[in-house]
Amino acid sequence: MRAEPTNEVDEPVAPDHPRRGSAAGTLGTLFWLAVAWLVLVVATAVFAGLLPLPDPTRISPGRKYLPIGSDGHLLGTDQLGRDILARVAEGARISMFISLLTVAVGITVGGVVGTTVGYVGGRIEKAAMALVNMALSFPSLILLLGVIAFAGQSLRNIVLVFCVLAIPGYIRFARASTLTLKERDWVLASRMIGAKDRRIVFRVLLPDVLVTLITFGLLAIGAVIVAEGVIAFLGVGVPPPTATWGQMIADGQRDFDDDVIHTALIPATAMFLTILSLNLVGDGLRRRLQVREAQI
Amino acid sequence: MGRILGAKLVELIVVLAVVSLVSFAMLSLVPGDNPELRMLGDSATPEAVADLRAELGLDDPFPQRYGRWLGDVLQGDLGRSTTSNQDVTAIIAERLPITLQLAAMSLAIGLLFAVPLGVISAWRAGGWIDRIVTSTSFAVLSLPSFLIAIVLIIVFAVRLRVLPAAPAWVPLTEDPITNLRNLILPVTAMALGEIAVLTRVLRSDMIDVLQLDYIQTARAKGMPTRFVLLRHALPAALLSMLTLVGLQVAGAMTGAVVIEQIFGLPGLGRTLLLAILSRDLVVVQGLVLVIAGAYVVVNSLVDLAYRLVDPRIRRAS
Repeated sequence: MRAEPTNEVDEPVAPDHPRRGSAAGTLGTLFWLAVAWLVLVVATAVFAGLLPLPDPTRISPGRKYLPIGSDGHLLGTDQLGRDILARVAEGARISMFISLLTVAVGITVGGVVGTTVGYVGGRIEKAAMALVNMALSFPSLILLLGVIAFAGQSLRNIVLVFCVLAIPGYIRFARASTLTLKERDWVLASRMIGAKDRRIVFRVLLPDVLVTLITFGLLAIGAVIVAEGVIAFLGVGVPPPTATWGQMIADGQRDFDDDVIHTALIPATAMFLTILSLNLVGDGLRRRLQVREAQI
Repeated sequence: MGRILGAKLVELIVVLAVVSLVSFAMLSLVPGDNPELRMLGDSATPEAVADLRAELGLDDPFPQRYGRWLGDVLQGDLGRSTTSNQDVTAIIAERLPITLQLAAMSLAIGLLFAVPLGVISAWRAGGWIDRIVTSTSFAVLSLPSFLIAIVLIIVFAVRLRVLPAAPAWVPLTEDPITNLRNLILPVTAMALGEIAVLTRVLRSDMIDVLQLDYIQTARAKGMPTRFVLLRHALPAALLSMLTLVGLQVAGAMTGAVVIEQIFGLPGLGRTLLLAILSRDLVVVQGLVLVIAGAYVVVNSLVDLAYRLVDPRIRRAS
């Protein structure tokens, strides 16, 4: 399976990965259904403003609790008569924005730092890993709640805290991959022909490390969506009037007294399907790339 | 082993020191929002404020204030709530049993289901039971506990009306039956996730162990399947699951925040959340310190226990 090192010593072709295009049919229908759902969610998030949807914040008290399939409100309306489809779309936007940004920052910063530290080794590596282990031994939800309590609830603060919490995990992961990669033939060969350290880190090691991080990142997006959902549900997420899935579910829970369940069930379903799809796609891709969980 | 113990202990102390520093810094770095000064009320003269600041030592340098605060904390004094004027230590002592009961019950139920499910699905890996168990646990892992809780409430409280959606808290010692009945939904919401995680880990370890030579030998000698599974394979496969259980103990402390909020149970998590929303920062600080501290200590104990129990790791180190 392993591609033989080619003439370009410092830029090997994805060494441990199975040949692309083989076993194309093995991902299964479920995998492609999951991909379809994710495409739908991302497209909704990106084009929410362009879709012919009502304003997600427009209140109309006379039209509250319309059921699913009502005229003009495909998914009905909530306790204030707001269009649920429009609000779910806006929630998708928030979830996707926060999770993609967090994971992108985590992969980039964590990948560069972890690879560098793993390559350099010695005392710098020891010190960095001690810091990382310390950061990872904190209970993140409690830290998150504490910081938000003191720094104030806003989209910016939430994204900042999420990024800070995400980076240590990626550093640890990137370092672990680097340690296994750096003794490989082509890396040693690059050093032998006198490639500079910076070139080895950024051009030789980092591309491979990033592939590993990205497969892990898909699962991590799901984790960030859950975390964002939890804090929004608890009332300390992105503040209203912006609609978020977690907050819609929390509001919907109050409608149970009136025997209305669709206001909570719809955003809950959207969230479940999104996380499930991310897990299915992440799992499928990881098996495909044979990235072992043991590497984490 | 002694050296590892020492190193782990040093690591634990350092992490705890950082936890305390973070908890303290959070409160003391918020400008102008010092809780003690609020006691004077809005009509206080600048002189009175200055006197009180001096008296309370608020103008001292940061390390000095931190040292004094840490001294109080080590003597069990976490300050007073600015909204109820209650002792934070007393609040925690009152609410802790609720969170502990919730966490302990959900873990116990998690284990009760995960062990048989994991063993059976590993024994017949690829069979229909295994396929159902594996795909169900995969789906459950995509359901955060608060979504499970919402679905449970919809089914059992809103539709069937057999269990309360927002039960009143009745201590176990007062009325065990009502206590347990009220906890059925919250505990189920937490336990389902535990069952899914633990089953997955046990199943994959069991599958690995069942491939080993000594299991083949035991089978070849004609031992009954049940004996091979439970006495030979299970103990070897339990290790990573038990480590995970330890981590879940710590995780359940924080996971309980959400569950307590949904069901209105007055445990540590809900107390923390209410304190955040009412900006009762002394309570937030105390709770963050206690919950984060407990989490760190439990995690270190698990790590140590793991090293003590597993001869393979012990030898390697």
